[in-house]
Amino acid sequence: MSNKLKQKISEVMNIPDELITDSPKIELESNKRMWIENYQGIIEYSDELVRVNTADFMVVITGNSFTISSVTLEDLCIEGNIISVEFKS
Amino acid sequence: MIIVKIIDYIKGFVKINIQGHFIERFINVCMRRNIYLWDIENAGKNQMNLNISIEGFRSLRPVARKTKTKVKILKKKGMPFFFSRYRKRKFFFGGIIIMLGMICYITSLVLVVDIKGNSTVSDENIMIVLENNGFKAGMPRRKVDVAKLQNSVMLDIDEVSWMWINIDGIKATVEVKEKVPIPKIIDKNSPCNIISSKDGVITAISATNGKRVVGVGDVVSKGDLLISGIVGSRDEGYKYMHSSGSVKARTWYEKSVETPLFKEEYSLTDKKIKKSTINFFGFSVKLYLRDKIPFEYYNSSGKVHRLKLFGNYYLPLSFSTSVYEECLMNKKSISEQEAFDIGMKKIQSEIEKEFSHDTLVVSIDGKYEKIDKEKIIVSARYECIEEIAKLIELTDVEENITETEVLE
Repeated sequence: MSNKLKQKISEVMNIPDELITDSPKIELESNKRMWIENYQGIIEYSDELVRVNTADFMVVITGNSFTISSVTLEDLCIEGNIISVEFKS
Repeated sequence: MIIVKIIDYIKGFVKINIQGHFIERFINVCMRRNIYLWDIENAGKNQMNLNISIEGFRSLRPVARKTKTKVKILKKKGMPFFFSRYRKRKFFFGGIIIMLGMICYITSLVLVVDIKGNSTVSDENIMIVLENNGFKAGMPRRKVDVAKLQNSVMLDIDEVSWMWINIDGIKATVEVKEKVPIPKIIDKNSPCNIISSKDGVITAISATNGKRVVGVGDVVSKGDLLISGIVGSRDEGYKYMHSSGSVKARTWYEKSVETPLFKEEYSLTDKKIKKSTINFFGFSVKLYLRDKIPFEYYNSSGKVHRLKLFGNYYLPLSFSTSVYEECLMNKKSISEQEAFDIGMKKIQSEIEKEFSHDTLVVSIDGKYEKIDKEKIIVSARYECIEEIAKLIELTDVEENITETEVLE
């Protein structure tokens, strides 16, 4: 199934996007914690910079004292002082 | 989430250090192989520390080789490591298990038996009956058959009308209710006299059955015949009946008490001492050296703290503390009138014990006399009206006839 079709289905049936398509769901708790669901891989990880690859774009997070408090196949939790979040295609 | 941490601790995990150029790749490869990682921290250039489960760590070797990273164990945490450290000390763990088992066993026994509510039957007597029926201190709690014991105790001891055993932890409380003796009831048909139960002057008399012997205004003393159950004369022949009626009389009660002309007042000082005792299986250990309390007057209060598990599961261990607070006694002088009032109150409470159920106080006459500077004597006289009729059975008829004749 093409991505567009999937998106249509999720729109019509009112199902959250991230369940059907590969597009990520990003959640921020203040600027301290970030959850990324449906990620595809960690490209870079250091104290001040984290780059995470997803199906649609790459998420670039800058800040300081980053830790990855949990990581599973589907989701990722980054903790620390987040200063900026950038989406690069 | 604390529950996740507890599960991690039970399953055990390893904190490791990863060193290499592609540490991000290491995480991604781990994910693809379903190796769960958490708390990843950066630890300098091309290094990071992370937590990994024991199983995950076992399958880490190919990942490390593939990503060309070095793995170093920093810390082993969790129960599996704790137990493997003590693997050789089997007797130590055995001892802990045996001790826990013993505590559970001992606390499942009834160790203390307390008997409550008996005044005429002795504790020993009840205990012997209970023991004969299979209840004794030291038996397992679940074997106590309260309903069966209740029956046998109530059957074996006549004075006991009800019994129940409440088991609260290791303590069994035997509650006993004793029978109230049946009041002696005189048969309606048996002949009887009415006599006076108190000294007094008769104010009203009405005989519904029997013959009046005394009239209104007569002075009677205790035991005097008021209404006779023997009617008739020697010539007509005697008839015996169950006399009944009511006799009201004016009675007097007198009492005097000595009342001091001062009041004792106690005030607390700051000084206090605490004495604690540990009670273990019925043995008490004093946690203090001197038994004597260095105060002349003191308030004492005690508190027992019994250790218990899960609500009502008492352990045979208790702490008791007694607190003694020093008091100072002040003599405060009071006026004669105040002392008189105190004395009158005391007299009232004493006299009211002697009243019967229908005593009506007509007048109270109180006075006092000063003896010396320290005390007065308060005396009071209560004038009352009450029923003084008391039934008494005619046992020896012949004797009563002669008595009746004498009266006539």
